[in-house]
Amino acid sequence: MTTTQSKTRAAADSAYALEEALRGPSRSFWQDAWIRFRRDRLAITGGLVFFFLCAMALGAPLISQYVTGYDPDRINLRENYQPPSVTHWFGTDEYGRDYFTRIVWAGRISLAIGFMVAIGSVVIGVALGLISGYFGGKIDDFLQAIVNIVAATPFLPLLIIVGSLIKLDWLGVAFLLTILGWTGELRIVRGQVLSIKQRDYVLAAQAIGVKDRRIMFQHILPNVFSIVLVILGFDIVGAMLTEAGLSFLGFGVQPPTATWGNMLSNALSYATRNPWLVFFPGLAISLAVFSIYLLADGLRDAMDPRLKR
Amino acid sequence: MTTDIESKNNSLLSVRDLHTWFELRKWGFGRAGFVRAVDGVDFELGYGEAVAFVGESGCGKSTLAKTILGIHRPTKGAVVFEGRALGKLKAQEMQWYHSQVGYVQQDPYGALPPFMNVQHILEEPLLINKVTSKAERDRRIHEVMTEVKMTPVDDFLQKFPHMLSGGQQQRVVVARSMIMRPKLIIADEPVSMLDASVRVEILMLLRALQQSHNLAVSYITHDLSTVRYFSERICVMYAAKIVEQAPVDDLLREPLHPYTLALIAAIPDPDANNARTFKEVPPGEPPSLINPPPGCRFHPRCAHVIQGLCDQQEPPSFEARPHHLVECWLFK
Repeated sequence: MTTTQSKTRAAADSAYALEEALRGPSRSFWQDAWIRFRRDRLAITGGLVFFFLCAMALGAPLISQYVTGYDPDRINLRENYQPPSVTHWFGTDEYGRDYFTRIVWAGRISLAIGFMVAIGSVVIGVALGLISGYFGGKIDDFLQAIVNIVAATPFLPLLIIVGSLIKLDWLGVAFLLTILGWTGELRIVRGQVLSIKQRDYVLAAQAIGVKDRRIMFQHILPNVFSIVLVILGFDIVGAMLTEAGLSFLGFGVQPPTATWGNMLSNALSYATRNPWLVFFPGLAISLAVFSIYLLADGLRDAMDPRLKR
Repeated sequence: MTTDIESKNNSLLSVRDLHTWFELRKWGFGRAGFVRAVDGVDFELGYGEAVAFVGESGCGKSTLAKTILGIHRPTKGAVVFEGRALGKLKAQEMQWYHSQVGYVQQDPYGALPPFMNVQHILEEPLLINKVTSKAERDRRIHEVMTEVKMTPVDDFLQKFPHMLSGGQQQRVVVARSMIMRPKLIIADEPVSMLDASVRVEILMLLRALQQSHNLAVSYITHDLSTVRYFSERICVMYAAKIVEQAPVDDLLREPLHPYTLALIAAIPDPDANNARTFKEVPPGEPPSLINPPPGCRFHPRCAHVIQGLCDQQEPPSFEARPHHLVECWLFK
């Protein structure tokens, strides 16, 4: 080795050592993800708000028993249309029910519908999307035919028919939204898989002899995962909003069971005289939507090791 | 046949009349035809021998590699590894075959899964080949990382591919292909995406590994200038077929096929006068592999075309010189 070579080698070595010292020891994937996530203020805010909403929904019985002392469904016509005050934080509605207590209880149903529909349709969509995209050929044709049939099913008429045959509770609505909602997820995932399965590292895995299932879950799924997270956020929000729209038309969850959606649609009749009846359910929906978007976005960024600074 | 028995005894890989065609679908049902990506390829590869495949883009080099690796299914013909035909292996034997053949790809960053660190990447072949002891896996990972000169090993194991330089990435790719102690490495343009300075290092590394482990290597490239570093024999491919096969020195000293002549003439040499002169290149483009020309596939571009023969009948393989095979009617 000539002197210049050894000099550059030594320089490179010391630069490397310096870099190592600055960066500290190697960390695991999850540690890294957590560090990146912590740095993202918006995502942290979203996470906290979302956590707060969930905690409120889960603790609804405790809140109505110890904090407000009202039953969400108890009618008290003498106290109707009260504006927000110390006794009724968010005021009362046309039947004199405490609006804050109702918002808290409604969050349970709305968030539950959001989660169930989103998780259900993402699980179905991702599983079938992976299979459809990875195997291609006849399996793909078959699944695409099913997707087209399901996607072409008109949602509202179906709901009207089903709703007139049986009385739908919120679980029924969630179920219907799920079985009709997974096609978009499947298409997005399938498209991603179609492109990823052509990548060199998937070919390399095939050449090593990695089994199809392992390739799908270990090599392809992590790349789809960031998109899946974002879709999951969109879906929670989407399901909540769809439920709200359905309630508005009278097909969703029926009173007296409160959801943010049916409270909002119900309040529209009183919007000019009692604007807080519109404001609070709207605020709850917006908070949930924003916080979930921010959280999903932050998680997506945190879990991608390529985005490391 | 005697040649068959011979080939079984001393060749590691023998590829016989291999065709890999891709179906072109029309309207989801009927077919519009085939892309004949590999169309009748024959060659033998002995233990510890390095063969280079040379040809321009789209001539079927990579498809040939992928068919040998078992990623594509051959339409016709056979890939025989240590006397066993690939199509007849059971799932378990196929796993064994995959462990015996390593694959080094062109783009090192693309070849490494972005969500796995080096440790996981190297552990995967061991895991699927049922090396259950963690200590044994770690030992072999350290051993192979040392062989590809990624030391100190522990500094690299937790790194993700995007944190490594191109040369380091390619070393990891080589390490992954070597970790099961294969008998054959298929290197598909292993250095074409690397910096010139790193190129030679990786080639020397591959050459050193080849010699120390008695590896057979099939080195696929479009760059004739690196071939001499690397291999004993060259196969020149044109339009899905091998048109000329010879030991490296013979072929470079005395190329026979008109296409090989053109290929060698096209190697750039550093000369300032080149700015003012034009190189003679064969007219036209390589043919469509969906509908190749009848007869010799090079005849529409060939200066020595024999009318009535070259454009009618496909030339068989002639042994024009000892060990020097050429598919051209000029050497009948």
